[in-house]
Amino acid sequence: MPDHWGFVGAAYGLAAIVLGGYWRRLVRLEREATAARHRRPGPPGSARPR
Amino acid sequence: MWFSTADRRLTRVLGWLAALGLVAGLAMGFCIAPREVTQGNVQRIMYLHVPTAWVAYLAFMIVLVASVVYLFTRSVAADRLAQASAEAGVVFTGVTIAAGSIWGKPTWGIWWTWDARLTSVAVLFVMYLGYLLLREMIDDRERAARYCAVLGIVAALDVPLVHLSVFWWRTLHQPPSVMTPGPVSLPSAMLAALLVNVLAFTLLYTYFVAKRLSSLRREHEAIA
Amino acid sequence: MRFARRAWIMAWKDLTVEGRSKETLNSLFFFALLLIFLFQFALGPDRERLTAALPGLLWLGFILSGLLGLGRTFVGERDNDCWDGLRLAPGDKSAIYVGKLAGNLLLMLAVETIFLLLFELFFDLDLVAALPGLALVVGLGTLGLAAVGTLFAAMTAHVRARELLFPVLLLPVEVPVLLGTVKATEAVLLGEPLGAVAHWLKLLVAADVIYVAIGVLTFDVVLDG
Repeated sequence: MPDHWGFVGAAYGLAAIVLGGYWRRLVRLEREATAARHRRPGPPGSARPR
Repeated sequence: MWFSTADRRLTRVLGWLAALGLVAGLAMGFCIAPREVTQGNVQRIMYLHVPTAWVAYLAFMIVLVASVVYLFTRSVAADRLAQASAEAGVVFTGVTIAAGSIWGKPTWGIWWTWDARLTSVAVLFVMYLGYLLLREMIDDRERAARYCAVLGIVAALDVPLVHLSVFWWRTLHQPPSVMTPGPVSLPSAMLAALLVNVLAFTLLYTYFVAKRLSSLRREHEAIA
Repeated sequence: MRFARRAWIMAWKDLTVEGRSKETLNSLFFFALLLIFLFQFALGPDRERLTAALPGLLWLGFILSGLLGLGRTFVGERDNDCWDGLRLAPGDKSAIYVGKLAGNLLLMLAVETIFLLLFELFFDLDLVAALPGLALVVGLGTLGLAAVGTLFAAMTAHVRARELLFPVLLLPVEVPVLLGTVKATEAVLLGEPLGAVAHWLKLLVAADVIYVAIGVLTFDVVLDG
């Protein structure tokens, strides 16, 4: 039976794209969430160097 | 504010471990594991398909546990875990289905078949997509947590019922599928490759969840 | 037993409201009629094909009507500002769930009976012989649909895109019920003894028990606020 390396590549490639894509999304979300936290003024009494 | 530098470092370590594991998994899957007798090298997709399926089920069990914990303790951290795990679970389930389909085309000749395993996983996929959709559609954070916890429990308890019903439905129609990668019948090199990949993908899942938890935590702190 | 009384009042209220307006029942009756036409047009005049597809068509009809009927379970409370009334009602909230479930069950069984009669009429079938077995299967399946449907209806009552989300959430969960009931109905209509599908019936019973238990245990969480 032939080896169908194309299919093997397609499966692993697709997995890499999807998992990699989700990882990039996670990184982006974390960056945005961190930025949002720093933009937001802290609770009263917490000094922030300007 | 307990997400300290230590936790960030831990997440980074997890990421590197996962990357290492995936490389090792690829090496095992393509170099150490032998060429399968009947199917040929296309069978190597198993080292992707089975681990992602395993991780998908793990993710949804975590969703169940976190949902139950949330209902009993109303701990926001439990809710965040449920959300992070459900997201990762949906991603891994999608990969499982795609890989299974791609494996099926040269092996069975068709892109999709109502094979017991594939059908069950497809139902699982739609159930947890619904979970994410429900979260999207509820604006109130607290209500979303409560409702998703209930849905998470219903879905998880339904999984064995889905499996059983689909299996009976399938096997009473046609003979069981050719693809039965049970560990028992595998030669040891294949089993080793499979286990390494299972570990690698589990590490990847854990890394994904840790990263998602951190961004969810910061989102909450920003809103709170 | 105060729980039973509260559940009974809930069911009685829904049945009385429905009995007076007959809104839902009439609409579902016409919907059933239209579905029969749809099935006929979709499958063509070939009787063999229809008879072969019959169990599936029956349950397609039941489920589609169920989606419409069950989705509306809490619309009355939501539209008439009664939701808080439910929330603030004293005692165990799961009595409300049981009452709603009972009302939904009766409504669905009524619609399903109409369906069966219409099927007998339009497709010239004889369902009388299979009636006892059919009644059991339909009863088990309808309970499975209504149990989760009532819970999810409460959950989606206040959610955006309610009409879309309700079926999307309900249908995958109901896959075991769908498979079990179609298989069992197939056997019953072919005249086979119920023992032949005992495993499916046990699955349906297990599913029903699990669904009702979850509904009873989690309803007050869904209702809270």
